[in-house]
Amino acid sequence: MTTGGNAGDGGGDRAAPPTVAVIGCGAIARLQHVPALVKHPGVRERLVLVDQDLDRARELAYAFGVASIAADYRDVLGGVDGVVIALPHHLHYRAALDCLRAGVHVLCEKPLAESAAEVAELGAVAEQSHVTLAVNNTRRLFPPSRKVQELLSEGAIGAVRFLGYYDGAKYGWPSASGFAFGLRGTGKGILLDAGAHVLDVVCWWLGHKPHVTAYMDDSFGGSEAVAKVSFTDGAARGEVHLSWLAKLRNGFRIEGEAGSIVGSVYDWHAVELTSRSGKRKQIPLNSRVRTIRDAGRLVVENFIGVIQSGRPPLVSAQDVAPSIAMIEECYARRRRFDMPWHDAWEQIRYAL
Amino acid sequence: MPSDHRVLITGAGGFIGGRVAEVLHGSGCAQVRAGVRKWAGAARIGRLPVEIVRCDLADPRQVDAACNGVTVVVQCARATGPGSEAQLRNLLEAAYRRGVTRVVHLSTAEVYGAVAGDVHEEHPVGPGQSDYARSKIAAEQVCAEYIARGLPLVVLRPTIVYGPFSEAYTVRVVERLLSGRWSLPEESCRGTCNLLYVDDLVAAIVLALRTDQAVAETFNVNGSERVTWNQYFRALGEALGAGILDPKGVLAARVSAWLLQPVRASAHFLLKHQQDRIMALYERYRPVRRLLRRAESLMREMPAMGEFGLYRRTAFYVTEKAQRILGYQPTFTMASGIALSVAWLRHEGYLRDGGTHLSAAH
Repeated sequence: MTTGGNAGDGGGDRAAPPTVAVIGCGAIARLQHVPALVKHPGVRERLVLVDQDLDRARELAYAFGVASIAADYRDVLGGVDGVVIALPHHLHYRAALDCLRAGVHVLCEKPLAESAAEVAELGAVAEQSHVTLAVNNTRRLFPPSRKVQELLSEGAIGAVRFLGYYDGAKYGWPSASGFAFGLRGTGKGILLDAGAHVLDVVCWWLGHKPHVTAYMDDSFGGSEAVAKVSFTDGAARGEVHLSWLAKLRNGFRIEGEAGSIVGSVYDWHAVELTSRSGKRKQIPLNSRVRTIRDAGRLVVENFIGVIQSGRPPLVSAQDVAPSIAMIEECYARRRRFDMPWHDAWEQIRYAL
Repeated sequence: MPSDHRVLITGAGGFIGGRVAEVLHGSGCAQVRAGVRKWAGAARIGRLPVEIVRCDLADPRQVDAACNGVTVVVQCARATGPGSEAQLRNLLEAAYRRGVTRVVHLSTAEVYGAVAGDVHEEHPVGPGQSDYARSKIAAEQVCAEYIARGLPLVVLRPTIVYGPFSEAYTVRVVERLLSGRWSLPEESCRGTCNLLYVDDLVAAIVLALRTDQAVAETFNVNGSERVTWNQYFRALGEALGAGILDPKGVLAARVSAWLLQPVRASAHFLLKHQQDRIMALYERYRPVRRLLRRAESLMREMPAMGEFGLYRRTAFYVTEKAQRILGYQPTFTMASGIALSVAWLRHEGYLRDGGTHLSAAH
């Protein structure tokens, strides 16, 4: 592996490109982090790709002209300024803790951890070690998310009365290890995965964590593929519907006392603002973030800035703490949907 | 079936394989090892606390590892198109070598081709009317080779399998009915539908796993009701509260299907060879997105040429042999199967009601 300055002093060598390790060489590393990192001058030459499956690390290194690979992240921590944690969900907390304790800046994939206590601990350790902990909650950078946050802050629709967010499609992520399914990882499914994005955006828009009133999913002891969250926030109520099994509207609707906002999660042309009188207005988004990859690239660019010049992270551990607490609360209240089609096998008991 | 049986289900990420896994696990009837071709296909099966393994039939090493330690195999993986026979051989060879005590192979009633009247298992198969039918006929020949070598294998020929998670005969039909644009005329759909609710097929699979006299035999698996396609479409439409189909003439419908043929072929070719580029354009440019969405919905909602033959066919696939040897008895009526399917569609958000969908189109 390569050697480089340790960033424990809070900034690293500003003149030299940082030494970064990507821990975990699965789909997100291949599609987002490594392509974005190698675009920075000098970063490719000092990049280290880490995966316990060395063949996977080697393959990715070859594809992007990276020279250094390693099997265990603990072996590289002494020689890097920052790490990107792109491991399966259940390994995030442990790996982030190890890296922060070693005095290395961390950009961790979402979800940062599985509990609010873990998030708080990671934040405290980062502070003690004088390093930055950033989280890849890219959905905050999606132009509709930003515009809604802006409109709500400006009071464009007054106090929120209802917030609905619907996100679903047949699962198509080219996962390398299948860690999100069954009992292969955390045993938790879409709520911890896509929910880490969606609930983070909901908490960000509202300015804090709402109160979970009900949570239902379709787990039979494995990872849920469909989840519905109901919540209240003062006089407002809300719902989130997530699915890995079928396409949903992939949009959101926010009703306030002075109007409403409707938008799409993935179509970034405009959001629709309706005034109290019913007048509709398309608000163009015109963002330089035109694709999900653009958003991912911004996160990586920001992380390089975090390492080189002590820039604040786009999304911090503190930012995601409310959504992780909300996810934890949901799982604590978990109930299964009524699914008569699932239980219909009782009718063929004669054959079993 | 003794609960200490360890079953490998190939194609467990699919419609039928997924349901086999759910029933075998839910009933405690066997320990399930769910084989998926790609991890992306494991979202449904991941809801169960069962073992999930990669089992791409094209990869002999994966297949052999998946067969290690199992006592029985249910072959639900889609092995069609070029290389499909070799893929099935990979599985049957591994099962044979590992001493598996039973393999149930899912074929299709399509192997009989464009037939009419009551069809029993003795009816000759072929010639294949489609790539799918030809692949399935070839697969049955591979099964016959392994039966001759002593592999305890059973072939099932299911008919029109529908129910929750059925893309072909539930989701797509519903999308068409709800689109209001499906211009398939009644006179084109007077053929026999041969509806088989997925759980009845699972019952037949389990019976084939546990019945020794089933080995080396082939069975039709069908529902019990003789309903026409018209009756199915109407009953489903009524359950959905959808209107009556546009009574377009047969000729007009065939012309539409014929005109769409080159579009379908081009789309298939482009998606196969240029998927990444198309997706990049789709992501970046709004007009491309609109065009592709429009083309996709048009192709899903309009019948393809091949469907006309199926909807007119008057064959009924008789299950007397399965009833006699396996003790098979279909228990789901069209009404009960449709009711469960619609409940599932509503739950998954296919039907626009409740708070799931937005008032404005996005």
